[in-house]
Amino acid sequence: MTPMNRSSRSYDVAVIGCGLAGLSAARQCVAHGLRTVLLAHTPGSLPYTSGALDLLGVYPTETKRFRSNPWEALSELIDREPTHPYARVGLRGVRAAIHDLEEYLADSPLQYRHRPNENMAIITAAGTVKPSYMLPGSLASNSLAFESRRPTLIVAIEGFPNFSSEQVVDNLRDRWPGLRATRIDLGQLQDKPRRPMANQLADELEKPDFRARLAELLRPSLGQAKFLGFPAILGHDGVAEVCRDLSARLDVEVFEIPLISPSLPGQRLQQLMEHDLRAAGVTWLQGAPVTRLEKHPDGGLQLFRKGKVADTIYRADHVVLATGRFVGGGLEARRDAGVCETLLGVKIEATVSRDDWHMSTFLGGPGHLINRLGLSVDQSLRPLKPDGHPILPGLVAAGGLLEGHDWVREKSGAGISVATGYAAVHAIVSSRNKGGRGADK
Amino acid sequence: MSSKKPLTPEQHHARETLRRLVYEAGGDRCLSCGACVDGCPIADWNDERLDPRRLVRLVQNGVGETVADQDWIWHCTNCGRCSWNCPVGIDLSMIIATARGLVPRGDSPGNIQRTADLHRAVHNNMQISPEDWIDTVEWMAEELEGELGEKVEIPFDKQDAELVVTINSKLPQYYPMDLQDVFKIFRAAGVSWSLPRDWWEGTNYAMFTNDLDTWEYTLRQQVQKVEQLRGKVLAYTECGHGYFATLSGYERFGIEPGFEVIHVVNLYAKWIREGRFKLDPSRNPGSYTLHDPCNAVRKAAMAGYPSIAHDARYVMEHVVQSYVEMTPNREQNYCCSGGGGALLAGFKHARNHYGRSKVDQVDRCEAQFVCTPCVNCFDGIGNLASEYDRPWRPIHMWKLLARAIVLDE
Repeated sequence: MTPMNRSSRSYDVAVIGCGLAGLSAARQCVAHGLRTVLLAHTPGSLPYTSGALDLLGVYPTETKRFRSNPWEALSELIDREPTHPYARVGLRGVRAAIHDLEEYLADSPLQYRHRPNENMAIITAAGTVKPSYMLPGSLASNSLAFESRRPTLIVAIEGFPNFSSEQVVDNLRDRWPGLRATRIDLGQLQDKPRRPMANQLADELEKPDFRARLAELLRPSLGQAKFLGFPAILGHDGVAEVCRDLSARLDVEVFEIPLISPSLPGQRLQQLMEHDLRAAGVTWLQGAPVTRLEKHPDGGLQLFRKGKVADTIYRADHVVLATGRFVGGGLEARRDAGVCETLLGVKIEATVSRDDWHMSTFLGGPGHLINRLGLSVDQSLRPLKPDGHPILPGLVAAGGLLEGHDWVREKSGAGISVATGYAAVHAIVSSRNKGGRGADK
Repeated sequence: MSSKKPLTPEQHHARETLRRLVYEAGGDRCLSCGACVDGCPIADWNDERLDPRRLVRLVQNGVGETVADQDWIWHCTNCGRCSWNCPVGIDLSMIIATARGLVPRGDSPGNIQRTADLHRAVHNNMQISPEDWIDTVEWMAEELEGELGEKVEIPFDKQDAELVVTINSKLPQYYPMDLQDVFKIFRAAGVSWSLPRDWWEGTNYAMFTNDLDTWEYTLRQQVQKVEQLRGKVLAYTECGHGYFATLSGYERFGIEPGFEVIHVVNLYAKWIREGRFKLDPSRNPGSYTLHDPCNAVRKAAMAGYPSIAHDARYVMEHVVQSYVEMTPNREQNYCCSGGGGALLAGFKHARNHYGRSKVDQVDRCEAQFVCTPCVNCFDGIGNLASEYDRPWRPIHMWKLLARAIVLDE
């Protein structure tokens, strides 16, 4: 019982998942004028992430060596690991995808920055240092502060559980003598103090009069500081203005330090891309899972979006599967059947037994094999059956779900998602140009 | 508290019901990440630490029955923002709604259950008798005649009409003049419509105490009425929870009505697209923002029902001179502070406390008026404006549309 008729639920492309892979795929659909629906169960992985977009930070992984030039490392990886998602896409494809995102995000309100052939280093809430490739403005300043090692003050907020300035300073002091910690109580700036939570603090920071009072509270502690580091709570989409305004008031450069979830820099990126995709006409259906995907009797594919009782059916010529790994729900480790892709129920053909999924050391060696398991695809990112044939015509896959990578150790998660999301849609476009429209072939 | 004390049958039932529900809702995947509580405007009320993660842990640790004893399941406005933001897809607001249903009806706070009982007994929440209903409607029709200078016939119980219209009982009770706006719109749209003499109520408070019996009974009575009138569409009035309770109730109780349910905001937009109105936005001077009602936007989207988010903006563009968005909006919007029956639950201080998130976002967008296409949100926003001494005011979408409609002389 809805006012929509069946034909209004038919699309050129259905993207399943709204992590960075799904969002990147949807952006390419828009760029190619495809009628697109995006179906997502949850807000996706971005609100969990630092907002810093990695390309390739460590390679080979067992060396744990930070690579200053991600493209050089990427060429080596593509030569050595033919089943890696980067190798499927190819160097030219990865470059095109990343370049496209660079242009988009540099001009966005989040003011992303990168250096053409160089990773940047940022400090984290744990007081560690992490290499990354593209940084939103507030994290680019983080990187500048760390590189310069100039006098810097790190600010923690009383009662806010996710951040300790003392921890950051303790862990970095040896490498950065001019780093100091302070702690402030925002309760005295508020009419009625609230328990500090990231989103509520960001609401407050968006208000100019609150920032004015905050600046006065901090001024006596500044000392010689040239940089001022906050946990990543400096506003929502107005983060650039919050940083600019606080910097101007205190004559320092303000930066953010990414936090564990919920992470505002990741959330901002998610919201920016969601906003732009909706504005470009993508139908956005979030909040319920897709439970079935199969051939449509009249050609193309159909998928079932779970309703409280009855499912709703959507038809699409092509489907981009970007459902993530175990946490996202794209993969599942079943007692009886091993690792499976959840929507198609495809068993991942692992050449290893369950006992070999994990090593005895948690962080050492070449990494756990389970992290490299994933969906097998061909050069066009079509998921394959064990016999080497595509599982469903019109279906492509993108993102962490794919086999052959270890994104956490490689520091390559964002790049893999962006490159495969981009390439998956380009594969769709070239098959459409050849007259292929899903299951009718 | 002694753990040795045996549970009463009710406590045992509560424990098992919640355990099953949390498991089915995916609670075993909870990562304790805090995405739910971070966006929750209520979470810091009175240091009670109302935290959906805590809810999941209590149930998982085998003391789920204690959830039903806590006031915070009633402080929660069931807005669903936690469910929307959960990265592993746990429907937390469904768990809270179910926990409410484990509280004996007589023990639920405030007047939510009383309101649901009235709906069942006298067929509307406000104890409006059939005579008063007809008198009020005819009085407003006469007023409208004065404005239009022509006869206004109200199609009471008209058979075979395209639309059967629901009305939130707060209108005849507290805001009767608004009925004129509603009637004016349906007349100007040139559609055939019918106003029931009975079972016209456009709310359903039984959903908020999870009184399944009353919820189902009232829905079935209304379905029977619409089917008797042989209406093709039930035009659901500007009431978010009523709309959601109707669609989700049909699914939950396996009701298959012989008509379609469409929210009036989706109808307004359709009629504007079809060119049925001549509109003059200059009749609504000043600046307006839009409040997205949780039930007709976020919760509707999650359940797969048509949301009003897109069409509400389309209507606003056509009926007001100056429109600004408040942020966050659409499915990320904050509750008006009156959701989940909160306006009737009696926890006024809690409600006003968590309304600050709403006050802040309205302040930030600097609009003079907040369009609330939901009677409950209208009262929630109005209450916040007076509690916080703010200059902005709520306004119904029907008011804006009716004012903008230019009738040919």
